[in-house]
Amino acid sequence: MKEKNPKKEELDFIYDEDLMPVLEKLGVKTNFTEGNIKCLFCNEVITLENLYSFFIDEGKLKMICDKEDCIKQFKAKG
Amino acid sequence: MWQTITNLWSTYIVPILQWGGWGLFVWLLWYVFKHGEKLDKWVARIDKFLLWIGIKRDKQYVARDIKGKINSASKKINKEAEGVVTKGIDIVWVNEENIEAFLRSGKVVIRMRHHSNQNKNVVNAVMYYVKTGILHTGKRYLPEKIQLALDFSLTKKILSEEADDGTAIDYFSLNMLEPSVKNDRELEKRFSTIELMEDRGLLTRILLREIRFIGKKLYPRTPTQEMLKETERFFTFLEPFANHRGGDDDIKDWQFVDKDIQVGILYVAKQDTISVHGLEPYQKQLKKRIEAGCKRIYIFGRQKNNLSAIKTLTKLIQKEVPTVKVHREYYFELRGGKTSAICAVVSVE
Repeated sequence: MKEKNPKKEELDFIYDEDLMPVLEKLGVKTNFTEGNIKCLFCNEVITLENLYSFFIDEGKLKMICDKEDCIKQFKAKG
Repeated sequence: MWQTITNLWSTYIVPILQWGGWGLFVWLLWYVFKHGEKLDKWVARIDKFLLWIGIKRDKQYVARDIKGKINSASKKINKEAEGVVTKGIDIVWVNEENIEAFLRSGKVVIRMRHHSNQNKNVVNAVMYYVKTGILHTGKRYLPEKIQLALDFSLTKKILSEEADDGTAIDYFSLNMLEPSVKNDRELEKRFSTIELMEDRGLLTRILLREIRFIGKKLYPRTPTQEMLKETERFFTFLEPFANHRGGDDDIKDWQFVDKDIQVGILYVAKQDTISVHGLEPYQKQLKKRIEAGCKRIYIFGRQKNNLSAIKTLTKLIQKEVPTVKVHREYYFELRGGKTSAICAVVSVE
């Protein structure tokens, strides 16, 4: 009955001060600062204030904001 | 006299100190190996102090604090139900050098704010860990609201376990939990039931364990309506146990035998039954559940007499049905004072 624990989960974080250099490297810094990137779920403009997470989906960089509903949808997306 | 003292010192005390020092060092190494999460928490405190005096330790503090909190809580949860959560977390910082490789491998990057927003960081990290690190292969077979309610409940559990100052749990309750359940009656109901399960010791001992078994059995199949309905029926079956206030009348079904889940529950609680009839009535009930097709029977009991009764009962059933496996877990129930309790799981092969 004694079960083996699954191995440790790796969480990948980005710290605030590394954000701009990373966006520059990804070639989206200008779009980001000009307010052209929108939340995948609510379509609101992503800013330094509300950015929660980013990832590649269907070959494109997607960002989501920190609204409770968007985090919920992000969680449900799996 | 002085010569005697120096002789005693060099013959006995110095070697003891030397070997004692090595012993202490070895013990320290062992302790750090076994309790890395405690070291993380202490180093996080040192980092916080260094930050306070102006030394730049932002990322180290943010990571150590989160790691210490999550790893310590997962260790406690695993004590209640071995294997339901991962051994904890490792944190990897993404920067301009490694970002492309991370994104290419399909990883999701979570933003951590300046350390002055550490409550928000902790809550975001715990929520993400609960989503990805706790039973993600089994949770997908639960209906959406139950899944969400379970994630909220687990996040609350982790944050409560480590609520040194209580601020991250306050932030979570105020900004995430309350707004979500306030506007969603079904989510509120599911969440309350899970919270009651947690109070009764059923969350980790039955629900999470069974979700793990579901994941092992069904993953990676796409969840079908039939699967979702079965897990919903199982959740409904557990509800009366969560609401149980004593007595016999409020629980009608003591077993749930369906396509993918086959579970029985047995409470050993009545001293009158044991003193008049011995363990025979419980033995009969246990056998009845095994014959009905239950793959796991969870036997609960509180207080010393019932603890030993369950130990004897499970030994008897192992003699009678040698193929069953028994796992006994002793714990303290905090409801209405600290009481010794047991959960014995009889697994039928």
